[in-house]
Amino acid sequence: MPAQDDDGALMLRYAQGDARAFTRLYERHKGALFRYLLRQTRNQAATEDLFQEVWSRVIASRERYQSLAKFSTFLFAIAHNCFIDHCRRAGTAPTARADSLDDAGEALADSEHRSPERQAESAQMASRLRAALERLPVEQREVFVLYEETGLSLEEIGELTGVGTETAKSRLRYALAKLRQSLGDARATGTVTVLHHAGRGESRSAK
Amino acid sequence: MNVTDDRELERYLKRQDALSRAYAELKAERPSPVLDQAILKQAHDALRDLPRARRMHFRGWPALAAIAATVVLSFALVMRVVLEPEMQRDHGQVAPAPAAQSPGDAAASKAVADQNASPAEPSAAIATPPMPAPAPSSIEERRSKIEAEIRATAIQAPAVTGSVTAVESDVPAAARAEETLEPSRADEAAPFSAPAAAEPPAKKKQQVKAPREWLQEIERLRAAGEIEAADRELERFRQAYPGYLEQQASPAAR
Repeated sequence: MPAQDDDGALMLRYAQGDARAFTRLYERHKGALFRYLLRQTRNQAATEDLFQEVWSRVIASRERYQSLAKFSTFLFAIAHNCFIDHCRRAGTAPTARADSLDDAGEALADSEHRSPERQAESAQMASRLRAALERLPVEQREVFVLYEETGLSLEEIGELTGVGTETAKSRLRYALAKLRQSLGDARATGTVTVLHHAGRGESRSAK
Repeated sequence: MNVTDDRELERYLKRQDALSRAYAELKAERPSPVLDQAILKQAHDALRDLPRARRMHFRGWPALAAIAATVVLSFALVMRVVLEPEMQRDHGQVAPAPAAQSPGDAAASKAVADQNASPAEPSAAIATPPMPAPAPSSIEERRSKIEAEIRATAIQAPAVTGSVTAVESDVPAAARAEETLEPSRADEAAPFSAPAAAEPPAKKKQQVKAPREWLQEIERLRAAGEIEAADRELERFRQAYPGYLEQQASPAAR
């Protein structure tokens, strides 16, 4: 993540009328926010709508903004709320969207067995990880994506998602276990072929 | 969750896990440039109203302050214009002063009045200065008190033929004279200065000799051979009554 120390200052400058400050802020966070929403909604159109809605709320709240917490916490808390609202509007409870991990694991395992050589391809690896993420329960996926995209601590993630730190930690633990299982990393027993397949050109022990 | 899960979690939290590196491959997804433009435009548009509002806010209080200052100043000016003539009129009833005359003329006319006045009534030589604030009744009381004191003093010291009291504001030239009385006269003037001491410092009276009397005194000094003292007194006289000698010398001025 880019340096976030001055994110709050940029937001305050924007509130005072500095449009360039907002542009910098937007450039810093647009990717992470977009991917967070994309992972959560798994729908490009819905993601774009929510993305715009989140930034609209940021713009609207500029005069009330106080640099008490990280800007990322502020931004992703809005995104979290927007996503919850989106699910309510769509009539789908976020918590009811977890697919069976076993099904996903089996699908991935089958694909691994069919073509082990192609696992080296980074594009395919990314695709598999994306698929594995999509099959995670939404709360677990959210914690994982927030941790990856924002660099926030588990405490901060718990705060912005409205749960305790231990709950966030538990969700992340489950998410990691399921992702490893889905990607066959558990089966590899310590040899992280994922890295090699991801195009790093190296094979490293995971332990 | 078992111990292995906890260990993997710790490794993951240190960003040393393969999953994090694998996830980095997914970070290429970004919003479209069209979406970028739409949001940035929205952000810029939102600022359009902001400066106007701020400007109104910042413009507001100086404008109010300016209006308030204008009202206060106007009121003060009106009060001064309306009330000052009334105050002067009130003072004029007690001690009318010729407004058209120059300070020197005023002092000279007083001196003439001194000479015409009877020695038994030295109070005629006293021009009661205009009082700034007190009511006419209090001025009258003070005046009568001063007159009584003067009469008593005149009985004790008949040599004193009279003196002119002047106020700084009415006779500026007289005010410029730093020292107006000789030590011997200071005691005699004590009754005159007593009421003045009760007044504000700005209105403190300065006692000045009548011009004619002063000139006679200078002549006496000169006749007695005290040329330097006479010159000194003459200089003081000139400071106290600038232009008086020239006026006396000029037949047109009479």
